[in-house]
Parts: sequence; structure tokens; C-alpha cells
Amino acid sequence: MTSNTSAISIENLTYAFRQGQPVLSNLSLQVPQGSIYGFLGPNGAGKTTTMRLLTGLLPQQGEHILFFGQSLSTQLPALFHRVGALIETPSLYLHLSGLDNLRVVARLRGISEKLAMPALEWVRLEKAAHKKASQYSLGMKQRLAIAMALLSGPELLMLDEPVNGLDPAGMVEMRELMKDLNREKGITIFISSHLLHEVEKMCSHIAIIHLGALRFEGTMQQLSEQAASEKSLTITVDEAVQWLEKVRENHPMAALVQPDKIQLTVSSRDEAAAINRLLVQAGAPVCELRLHDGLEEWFMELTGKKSNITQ
Amino acid sequence: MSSLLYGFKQAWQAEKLKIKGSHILLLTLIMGTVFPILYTVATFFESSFNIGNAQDRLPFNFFEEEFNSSVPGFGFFFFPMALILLVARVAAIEHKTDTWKLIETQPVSRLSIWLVKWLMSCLLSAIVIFVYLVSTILFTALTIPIKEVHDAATFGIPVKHLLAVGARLWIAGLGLLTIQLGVSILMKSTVWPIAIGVLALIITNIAGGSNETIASLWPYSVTGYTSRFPNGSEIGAFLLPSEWQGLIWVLLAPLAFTLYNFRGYLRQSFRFTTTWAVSLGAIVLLALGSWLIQRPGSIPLLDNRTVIAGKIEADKLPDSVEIYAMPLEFKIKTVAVQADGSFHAEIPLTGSVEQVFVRTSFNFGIEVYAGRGDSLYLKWRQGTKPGLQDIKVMGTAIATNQFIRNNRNSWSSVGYYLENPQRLPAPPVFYKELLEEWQGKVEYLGEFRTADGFGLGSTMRTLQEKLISVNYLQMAYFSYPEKRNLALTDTALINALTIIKPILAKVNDFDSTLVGWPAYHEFLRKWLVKDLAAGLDKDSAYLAVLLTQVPGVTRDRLLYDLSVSQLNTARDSTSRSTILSNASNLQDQRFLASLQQKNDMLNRLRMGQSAPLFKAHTYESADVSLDDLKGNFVAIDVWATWCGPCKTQSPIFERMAEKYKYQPIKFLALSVDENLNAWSKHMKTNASQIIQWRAYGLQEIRDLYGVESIPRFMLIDPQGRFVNAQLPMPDDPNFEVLLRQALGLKAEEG
Repeated sequence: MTSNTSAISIENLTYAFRQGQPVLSNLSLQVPQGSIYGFLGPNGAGKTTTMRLLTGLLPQQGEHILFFGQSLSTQLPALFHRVGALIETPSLYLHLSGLDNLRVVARLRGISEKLAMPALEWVRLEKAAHKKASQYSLGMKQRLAIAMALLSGPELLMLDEPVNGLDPAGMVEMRELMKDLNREKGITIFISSHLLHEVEKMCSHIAIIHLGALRFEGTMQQLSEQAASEKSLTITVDEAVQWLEKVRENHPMAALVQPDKIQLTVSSRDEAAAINRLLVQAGAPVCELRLHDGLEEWFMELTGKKSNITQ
Repeated sequence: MSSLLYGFKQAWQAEKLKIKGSHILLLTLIMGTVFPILYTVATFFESSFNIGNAQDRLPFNFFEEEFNSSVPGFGFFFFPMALILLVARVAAIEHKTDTWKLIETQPVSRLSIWLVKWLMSCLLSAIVIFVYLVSTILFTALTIPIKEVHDAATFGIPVKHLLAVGARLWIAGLGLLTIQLGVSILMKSTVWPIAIGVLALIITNIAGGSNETIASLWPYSVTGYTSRFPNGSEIGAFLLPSEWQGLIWVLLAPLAFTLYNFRGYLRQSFRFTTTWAVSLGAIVLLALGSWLIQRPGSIPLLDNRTVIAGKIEADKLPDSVEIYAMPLEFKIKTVAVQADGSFHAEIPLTGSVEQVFVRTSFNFGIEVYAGRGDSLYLKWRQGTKPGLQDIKVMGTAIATNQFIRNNRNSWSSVGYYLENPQRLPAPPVFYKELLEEWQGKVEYLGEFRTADGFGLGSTMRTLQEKLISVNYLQMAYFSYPEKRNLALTDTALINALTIIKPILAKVNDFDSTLVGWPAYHEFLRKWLVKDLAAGLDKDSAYLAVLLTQVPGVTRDRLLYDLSVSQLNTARDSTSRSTILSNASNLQDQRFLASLQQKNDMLNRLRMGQSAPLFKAHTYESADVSLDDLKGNFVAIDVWATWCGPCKTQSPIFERMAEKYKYQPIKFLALSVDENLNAWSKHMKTNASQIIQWRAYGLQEIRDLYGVESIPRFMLIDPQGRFVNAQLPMPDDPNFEVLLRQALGLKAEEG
């Protein structure tokens, strides 16, 4: 991956609100220009902290972030001419109309206020242009916020949980909007989310973060391959504790998840079959052998959500 | 710098749009008008003392006067309150949906964001003041057709004055605005900053009510302090010290900005040392500036001379200005008044603070305080009516003169107790309270400042401290025991009096710096003989003590005062000559001469002495004399058209004239009006049994008859001799009793 053309490049980013308790540790990312980059992780993984660091809302402890090949801190705040950001919940002036919210942003960015109406049309809010933002539905607010982030035609768009609180139709709409923006305007989009299936459907690149550390970074294709190569195997066997040692001979990471269940990772079906053979030969009363497949399963595994592993 | 203020213009443009779409401008309008409305409504419920004839007052601007009397209400409460609310709203625009993160991810710097909020607040503050000024004028104007207005009022709108006061209030409020903005942004709440602001406003105003230093120092009370001086600087400065003080609180802005910039992660923000260093530097500057501003100012004294100069504004300028040393009324100097009204007198003064009486005629004068090296300047407006004057005393002794004139230190709760003896507490409680009150008054001497921050000089402070102490000792040793019927020898009292030892330590017997002050004389006269056994003559004992003192100015002044008061109460000429012979111990011959003069006057006014003749004329301008009335008793009423008390006595005097018109007695109303027109006008509407004359010279009447105040009533017999030179007022039954006695009529049965 060539880093000199990366829209965003993070190198060894570590951040701690209190000393000794890092929220992010040694995080490194490369967001290629022209990509839709999904930044995935469960709640509390450090996504918002990363987003805040990327937008300068939090100052870095050191110099670890480059935008367009140059240090972030030297580019603030002029960088926001090229970058649109939407952090957490939509920040709107509820006492102003949708159009005036856009005009405020136009003034802040020093661009023509005439761009406000087309932007509203982009997010299909032109009919509600003169309605106060306080009367908007959540979806409308979200769309207005995106229009505000998009207003000056930035090269890079950073969105924090953009589909949070949207209904299924709204999610689809948002996804299509992102794809259109990327395809038609060539905008690099950096999206943080905790929903894999959301990211899966629109991103070209993906990074997975858990407990402040990077677990995966690559293209969607690489992700699928990786997921395919690391399958989770659950063996149901009576008195599982007795057989755990046996399994660990070849798979030291195997773990007891229930009194009758052992879980481990295998790379292929053959490997699963081999373990089964080994156990049966040793006289284990194996009841069931289940091989978990698919990205979602893998993601759950990776982020430690599904199983409560006790070693 | 340009990168620090990156996107400033854009941020300002955006802020304007945000404010325009909000209700803040409406709030501004309301905050500016609510006080003028309340004030105007309130004025309808209070009785108006401010009405009268044009000749009773010097011309004044109606709007300016109404504005000046209302502006403290705005400055103390409504203006700071408006600032607290508005600034909270300006910050809250971003709090509602945390649009901070929206503007902070735009191409504008944090400093621009903060500065725009600050400038917007300043602009709104200016709008509030402007609306206040306009609405005050508007509502005041509305009252003119409804309320009675003094005839001397003029109605031009004092634009310059209004704008100056507005600008000064605005500046004084900037510190409060900065602090409240800092708090409002930092707290990310709408309610709490307002609650904190209101609390701070109330606390500092309460504390500032009893402590001048707090009032002129703290950002929450400084607008109120400033509004107490609507006329601003007396030395031509644009800003008063309190306004500078309000302004330099703005130095907290770097701190407020730093706290905003690093809010949420203050703990680690200390790595960013530049902003903290700037904040700290600004705070040091603030402390230093406050110290400089709060120091009492003073004007350098002249070397050895004392100058009293000034400028008189009057329809008819007086010829000269006379200067007297008080309270003895010795004339020191007479200087001519120049064609432009200015005068300049150099006078010999030895003491550090002396009372001096400056006058242009019997009707226009003022007591001022000066010492060696002082240079006083009097801005003196004189009306046509006697006593109608407005004098501003400026110069080196400005603080001394204002302190004595304003007398904010005079109210005493202990004194109030003494006037209501049924509430008097027991000795220990009373003396403790007395001591506390005394301490408060002494402390105030150090706090006192003129509008321009001039404080009392050290000599004046020492003198005032002594005078205050004399006053409290007087209450402690004499008033209280008298009211409680206690003797100073009672053990309860002796024990309690130890409480006030600190006061006693301040005052000495025969203190030469205090001899010019009558209160000290009164005190000494009791103090020095307080241990004398009951029944003995205290004045003789006092005199004996005085005579043991080394002869000199101090002894002379005390001796003279004693003699004057004895003369005034002496019953006959024999006892008066005894008093005079005691006074022969006086060193200064002027004192002796003065006593002699008083005695002569008293002798002249004795019964049987012939009443001196004076020059007077009738309404028809015929010259007349007392001789013309010989053969009749003559009851004389000395009065003037401008004298209020005279007017209450006149009708009774007239009734007497009607009642005794068949008796051999004439009733003469002798006007001492200097203004012939005022008298003539009065005559046209007044026909009665009374003979109306006007004296040519007020001074003559004063000198010949010892007229110190009017009305004055006298009775003269058919041979032109005094029956009584000091008749009681006609509304006193004795007036008629004495009249009937002289006429040989039987006492009326009643």
C-alpha cells in the first residue's frame, strides 16, 4: 500500500485519558484516496476517540496522524476546507431552518450561500428547506447533517456512525448516497460503525478495532479471505474438561466455553475432521462438531462478543 | 497571528446568521426596556417633590436629571443581569445539540470561534445599553404631559451625556461579560451559568453595599459603582477608576479561552504551556492593574501657599469674593471678581485641614475645607434667588470636601437607639455595638474615594478618625448614661466602658488639631468635668481647667467658645460682664474684640435701648424710617419672599394686625429681599392691615439687629425703644401674651 497517496495515514497512534490506561494503543491505518473506508468496532472500541483525534477535537499526544501526506496538526484548521466531518449525533442549529443551517456552514467555510439549496436537493430535503430543524425527523436531521458535511465538496468525508438511529429504509438510502458520492464525485469516505453488515455492503476497505488495538486492515476481499481461513469450531463432548488437553496438543488456543463445549479456530474443514478423528480415537464421546462460517461470525469472534472464553 | 485568527471573518458572518435567527435580539430589546418601563411606572406612585417655580431652581435639563436618578438601578442590577442572560444565550446556541463540534470541524481557528462569541456578546451589550438609553428618553418624555414638571426644567435631549454614560457602562461591564462568557461556554449548560452569575451579582452587591473597595473592585458590582457617578470624572478623564477596573477584568479572557480550548481534557492540557503562560501573565497583569487602580489617588500639593480660585456663572456677577476663617468668622481675604467671573485668592493657612467660608454676598456662600498647600477650584453657578446656587469644589482637597459634604458616614444605629430610649440594650451589649459601629466608620475613611479615585489624605483621615471617636465617646460617656439614668461611677457602667478603650485611645485632652470643631468643644466641656460632684457649677470648673493650660491658640479657641455660649444664654448685662472679665485671659485680641462686639450687640438689643434706624422704602418707592412710626408700638416681622418658614408665620402675624387694629400698635413687615421684583410682585397681590417696607440693605439689618436668621419678630415702644428684640414666633401663644402685656391689656381668658 502506498502511503504517500493515502487520504489519512495513522501511525502508531496511542492515546490515554489517564496515564497507564490507553484507550488506543499503537493504532496504524492507511485510508487510500478514493476508497470507502469502514472503521469497524464494537461500542467502546475507541472509534469515537479516533474520530475526535482525526478531527482535532482531541489533540494528539505526539504526531501520529497525516492527512494527504502531511501532519494533521500543522494543517488545522485550514484542513477542513478539504475535509467534511460528522461526529456522533448530528449537530444542528435547531432554531434555524434547514437552509439556514447550510448557510451557516457556507459562511464558516467561506463559500457561496447559493450552494445551500443544491446540497439540500442532494439529500432530498428541498421541501423542508424552510422548516425549522427542530421539526425534522431523526432521519431528516441526519441527512441535513450530511449535507452540511458535504456542502463545500470536500475531498474527504469523515462520518461517525452515520446510520445510527435510522430506519431500515433510511439505512439503504444512506448507503446509496455514500456510494453515489464516492462514484460520482470521487470523494474518499471514512465511516466508523459498529455494524458489520452495514460496512460490508458499501466499503471498499475495512479496518477492525477492538479494545483500542487494530485487529484487521485490508480490502473487503482480503477480509473475506481471512474470514474464510479462520473458522471457529465448536466441539460438543461430555466431560469436555478431560478432552481439552488432548485438543490443545495441536491447538493451544482451544478453550472451554461450556462444561460440554470446546471452542477453537481452524483454517479448513480438513483440520476440523482431523481433530474429530483424534478425539474419537482417544475414546471421546463427541456428540456434535460445528464449524461456524461467514463474516459476521468471524467478526463476532474477533471482537470477543459472541463467546465468553475462559481459558 | 493570522493563523491564530484563521477564518475569523467567516466565523463572524456565521455568528450573525445564528443570532439573527434566534430570539436573542428580542431578549436584548426586552432587557433594554424593562427597567425604564418599571422605573416610569414607579415614578407615578411616588409623590413628586421636584416641582416648583422657575425662580426656585437653577435651570436644569429634565431628561438628564431623570436619567441620572434612574441609572443606578440599571447599573446595579438590570444591566449586569442582562449581560448574564445574554451571554448565557450566546453560548447556549452551541450547547443545545453540541454544535461546538460542528464549528470546531470547520476551517476556522478556536481563537476565532471564541473571539467571535466574545465580540458578539460585546455587541449585544452595546445594543442593550442603546435600547436602554432610547427607551429611557422615550418613557421619560411620555411622563411630561402627565406629571408636573419643575418650571426651571429644559427639555433638550442630552445626547452627549447619554452616550458618554452608555459608553462608560459598556466598558465597565466588559469584565463581567468576559467572565460570564467563560463560565457559560465552559459549563455547557444554560441554567447553571445564569445561576452562578445571579448569585455572584447578589453577593458582591450586598458585600459592596457596606464596603466601597469591594463595590469598586469586583466585576459584578463595578457597573453599579460606576452608575453612582453619572456625571463621570470631575477632572475631565474619560474613564473613572472603577471603569478601568471593569475593563481590566477582560484580562481573564486568555484563561477563559484556554479553559474552553482544553475543556474535557484539562488534565493533559498542561503540556500546552504557551496558552497557560499567556493566561497566567494576563492574571498577573490583572492583579497588578487592580492594585494600581484601587490605590487612592491624590493631587500634589502646592509648596507653601493655599489658593482658592474659581469661576462664577451668574446673571449679575458679584464684585468680590470674601474669605473667612471658620468657625470664628474672621475675614482673611477679599479679592475682586474678574469680568469673566473668575477669581483667585491666595490665603495664609497654617493647619492641614481648616474650615474656610467663601462668599460673594450674604446670600451666596459655601464652607470649604483646605489646608496649607491646597489649591481649590470652585465652579459656582448662582441664580437670581438668594441661596440658589450650585457649587462644585475641585482641586487638591476634592476628597476632603466631598467626604464632608456627602457624609455617607453619618447614619448611626447606635444613635438611633439613643433616640428611642425604650429600646436601649444593657451596657455590655450597647458598648459592643458602639465599638463595632465605630470600627466600621473608621474603616470607611480608608475606603472612601471620589469618582476619580481620590482618597482622603492622611491628615484628614487622622482628623476624621478623631472626630468620629469624639462623637462615639460623647454617646458612650454622656448620652447613654443619661438615657439610662446611670452615673459614670456605677460599677456596671465602669466595667462596660472598658469595652470602648480603643476609642478612648484616639482622643486627647486639648488636642490642637481638633479645636476648630465645635463637636470637640462640646465634648471637652463635659469630659473634663465629668468626675465633678453633682450640684457644683460645671462651667466654672471647666473654666478653671482651661486656665491651667498653657496659653496659646488651643486654649484661646476653647475659652472663646465657652464665653460665646455663656454670653448667648446669660440673662442680664451683669452676668455678661463677668463672662467678659473671665475672657480677659484670651491671648488673641481678635477673640476679645469679637466677644466685645457680641456683648455690645446684646446690650444694644436690651429692653429700653433705642432701636437703631435703618434705610427702607415703600411699594411706591418712598423712603421711610422707623421714626415715621413713632407714637405707636411697632411689631416688626423681618422676612423675605424666598423664605419658607416666613410664609407660615405671616398669616398669623396678619391676624394679629386685624385683631389689634384699634390699638396703638402698627404691624410692619420688613422685607430683606435683595430682588426688588420678587417683592413688588408679592405686594401687588397682598393688601392687608400690615405696613409693607423693604430694607435697602440686608447687611445693615443684620449688623444693627443681630439678625442671624429669618423670620425674626421684634417689638418697639412708641418712643422707638426695644420692648423685646427676640419675640417668639406668632404661632407661639407667648407672642400674643407679650404683646398684650406691652399694650397694658388684660390677659385673655381662655
